Amino acid sequence: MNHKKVYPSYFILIPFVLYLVFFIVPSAMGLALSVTDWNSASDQIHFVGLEHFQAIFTNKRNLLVIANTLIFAVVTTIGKNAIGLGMALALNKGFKSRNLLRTIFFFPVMLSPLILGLVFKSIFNPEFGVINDFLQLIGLGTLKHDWLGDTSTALGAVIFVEVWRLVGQNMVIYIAGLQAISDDYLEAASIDGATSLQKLRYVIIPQLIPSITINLILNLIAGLKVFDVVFMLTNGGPARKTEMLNTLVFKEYSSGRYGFSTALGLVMFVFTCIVAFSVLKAMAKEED
Amino acid sequence: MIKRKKILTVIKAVILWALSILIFVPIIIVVLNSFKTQGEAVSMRFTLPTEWVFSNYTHVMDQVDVLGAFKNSAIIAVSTVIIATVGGSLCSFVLARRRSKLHRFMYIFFLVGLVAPLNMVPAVLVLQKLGMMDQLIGLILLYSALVTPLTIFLYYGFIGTVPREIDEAAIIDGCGCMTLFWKVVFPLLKPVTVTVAILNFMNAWNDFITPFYVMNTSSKMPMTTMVYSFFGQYQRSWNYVCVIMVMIIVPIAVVYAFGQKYIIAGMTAGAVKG
Repeated sequence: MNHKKVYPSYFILIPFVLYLVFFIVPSAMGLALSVTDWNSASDQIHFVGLEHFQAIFTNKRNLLVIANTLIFAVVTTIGKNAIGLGMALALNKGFKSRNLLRTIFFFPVMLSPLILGLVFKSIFNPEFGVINDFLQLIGLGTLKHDWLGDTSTALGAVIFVEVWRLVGQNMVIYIAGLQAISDDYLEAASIDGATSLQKLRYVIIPQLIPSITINLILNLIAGLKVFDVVFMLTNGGPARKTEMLNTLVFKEYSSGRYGFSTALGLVMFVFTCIVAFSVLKAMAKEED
Repeated sequence: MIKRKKILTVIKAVILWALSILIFVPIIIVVLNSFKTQGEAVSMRFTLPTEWVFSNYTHVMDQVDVLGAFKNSAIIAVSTVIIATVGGSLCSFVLARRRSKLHRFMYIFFLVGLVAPLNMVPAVLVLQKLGMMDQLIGLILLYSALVTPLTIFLYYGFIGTVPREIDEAAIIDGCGCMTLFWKVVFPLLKPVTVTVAILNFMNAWNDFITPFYVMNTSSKMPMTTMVYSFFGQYQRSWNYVCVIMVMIIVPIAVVYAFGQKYIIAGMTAGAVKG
């Protein structure tokens, strides 16, 4: 069988060209443009070296944005994984309605994060939001709060929404992982007198490493490039407490500082790659 | 012992159902408020409307071209699905079967896009140079490129489980490469095709950031950017904003109701392979 004839190279063409033109070329251009002062105010583009990167990593405002993004990515990842695993353990076996519950918990994953941002904007509203109404109802009226407007709670509120939105995705990935674990191991552990907690620690978790890996990577990537939810809920405010890399990229772009915006995009690109590959490497070690 | 286990299961079920309220409440709030009067909806409370205003829906349809935006979203999402499915399946087939060093390298080359985010500003520049700014075709091609890595990743893995002997038998029977793929191999890929199609559809349908950067003309906007600009104009009219949100959620809910098995399978496909 002639491989070149049966599996012709031109089959590769469409995705290759699209991917090249709309992903690789912009990424490569990003590299080139990030060292220029390209902006909307002037027609000329000058080489400025690493000026933008220096600004990104020394300027206090930009460092705060990087810190916010990292905190957001890490905390949402922990939250989504911990709750998602808990839900998966609860829904893996047992009662009848678990399939229906699984379907329900996964539903928010399907919805546009922009829409969810809008919904939660109203839910968190200081005067009439459902959260404050509920606190009042159960007698905790003193906790009523401008959740998104207060610098001490804004980031937490945004993180809450992101966890709410994607916990179902983590859950289904963990359920798939749990179902691949043979009952024999768990029975053997029971016979040896292991408690539920010991079973979790020594039997279930080690066998879930592939699921944990994929969840860590998916969540960290999503967290590092978060845009819609934050943009809609707070647009980076109050006092930049929830400003993220991707919302800043947009702000710099709208104010015409294209070169700087591109540099920020590149930083996000590099962060994401570093994080993804480090997690992959660390987890591969864990699996051995 | 068994009785205790049963009680525990019931407690577990009750807790989980209680938790599911957290998922329902925000969505029900939107639906309820879409039927309220403007004055009542201002407070977006979790209450039944005192007066059901069904005309909110017709009012919104008169104010903005919801159907137009809906059509745009549909055109964008469906075209993306078609291009990605046709291109991605053909490409993965060759990459998975030939497995030379070059093909292996190309596969990895595609996977980079699975991790790394697109740099938006240069992407806008590329679209400008191609004369595709503010054009549906620009968005479609951009999405088709962005979903390519996941499409190829999922197809590549699945094609690996389709035995090569099938190809050989078909070739001996006199099939050309096109007939082999479309008539023999592609039908076998149906489960992964459904998964990929749904995931790509969702991504294109729900995406906000890309059209936000590249679309300016309101008649060409998809649902997400339309909702955003609508919200900008009608910040005080939550009842109308809710109508728009219901209109964007319903199609997704319908797709989900029918395809949830495949969707969840698709979400976990990556996890199984690690």
